[in-house]
Formats: sequence, C-alpha cells, structure tokens
Amino acid sequence: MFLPMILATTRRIREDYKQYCLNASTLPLSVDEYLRRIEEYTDFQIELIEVNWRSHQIRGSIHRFDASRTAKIYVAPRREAPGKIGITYCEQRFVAVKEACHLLIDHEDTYTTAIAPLIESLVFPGSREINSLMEPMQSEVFAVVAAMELLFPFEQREEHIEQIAQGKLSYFDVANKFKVPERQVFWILSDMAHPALKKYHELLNDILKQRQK
Amino acid sequence: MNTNSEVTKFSDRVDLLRSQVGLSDLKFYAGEVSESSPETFAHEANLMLDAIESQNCKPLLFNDTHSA
Repeated sequence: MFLPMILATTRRIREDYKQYCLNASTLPLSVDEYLRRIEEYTDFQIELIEVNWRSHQIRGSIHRFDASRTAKIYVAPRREAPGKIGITYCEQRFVAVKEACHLLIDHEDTYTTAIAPLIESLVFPGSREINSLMEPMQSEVFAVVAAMELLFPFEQREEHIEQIAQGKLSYFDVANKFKVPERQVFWILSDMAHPALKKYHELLNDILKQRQK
Repeated sequence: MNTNSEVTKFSDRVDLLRSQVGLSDLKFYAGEVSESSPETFAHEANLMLDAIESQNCKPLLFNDTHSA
C-alpha cells in the first residue's frame, strides 16, 4: 500500500471516530474508540492483551489470524515507576494503535514469512533502508505513521511546530497533551517526516478534489 | 551451542502457531535495541511467548472513550 492510500485510510478512520464519539476533539484521543473503529472498518475482532514479561527490547506485537478474522495485540506491562521494567501509559496507547494499524495497511505481501530477517530489521534499523523495497520492513514504518495520524492528527501538527519553535511548548508538553511517546512526537514533527507527510497530504487532497470534479 | 538457538527456537514456535492455530502474520514493536542482537531479541520474544502460553496476561482496556 502506498503512503497516500494509508493517509486516506486513516482519514476515513478519523471521520468514523468523529461520527461515533460525542466529544471527538477531546484529548487525548481514545484508543478504545479507535480500536472499535478499526475493527468495524477491517471486519477483524481485536483482542488487546497486556502480557507480563520483562519487557526491554519488545514493547508489543500483533498476531493476525485471517481465517477467523481475529487479531491479538500483545502489549508490554505498564511501568510502575521510572527505571522499572515495562512501558509507560503513552507507550501502551501507541503500541495498541500502531499494532492495530497493521490491520489497516498490511496485505499478504507484507506478512512476515521469515522470522530472522524481521528480527534483524528491528535490531539493526539501518538495514531497513537497504531493504526498503522489502514490504514487511516498509509496513513497520507505515504503521508508525498511521498510528500517529490517528493519535496526533496531521492537521494539528503545524500549530505545535510553531509553538515549539517559539519556545511556548516542548516536545514533552506535546507528547503529554496527546498521550503519545515523546520520541514519536519528535520524529513526526521533524524535518525527516513532517515535510514529506505534508506533501503526501497535499497530493491526497489533490486526488480527492479531482475525484469530486 | 548453536549460535542461532534463540532465533531458531522462536522461528520454530511461530511455525507451530502457523500450522496449529492458523497464525497468518506476526509483527513486533521494538523498544530499546541499541545493545541488542538478534539472539537477545529472539530470547525476549521467546519469553513473551512463554508468558502468553502460560496465560500470564490480562485484557487491556484504556477506558478512555469520550462517549456517554
């Protein structure tokens, strides 16, 4: 799936969210509601499960079962205190939505067929660029983009970029407002991601305008 | 010792999930991997599967809907 199609899909999920939520603009945006909307859109039943293991290198995982149209999303346990094992509330929210986004964007070509290359791509992220044409690796990046589109919508980013530039807000403040990991906020607002995503959104707007004509 | 023992073990377990319960796909979200190797990552993946299989888990609900 190409990025504009992913953005179109997340826009559709956002529209559904606005339709079903009484207070759709209330922050933080609801993970429970998003999962329901993704279930409805994909016709998959999602089981969200917190697994109690000593999480360090893995924050979550999705197991997809096409025959039964079910998916199990496993999330690392909540960290009870700084420095302890586990992940934060913001990370749990992000992992749940990011893994669910795989149901929106993946297809058989993006399925993991061999475990060793998948693990290598996760442990050595630099190899993703070399293997950028390999669909399963691309899917990981797209799922992160899709999750951020839902939890920190594109249309709300530029005002925050300006406020950060003016020193009125920090990345932590923005992360805390939307209840997403600060690392993801930093990346999505950075010159590495935001200008490209802006172009794709503009491209999508043009496509939608053309269709309306 | 097989240098790929944890990766192989995890890969075999995934193959079993595919054949026994119809797993179609599996993905991860990685955390801190700056000091990881495929072996240590796969070791943690095996620990996670152990916890799932022993039902050392619970449903997760955020209770964050804004609807009435």
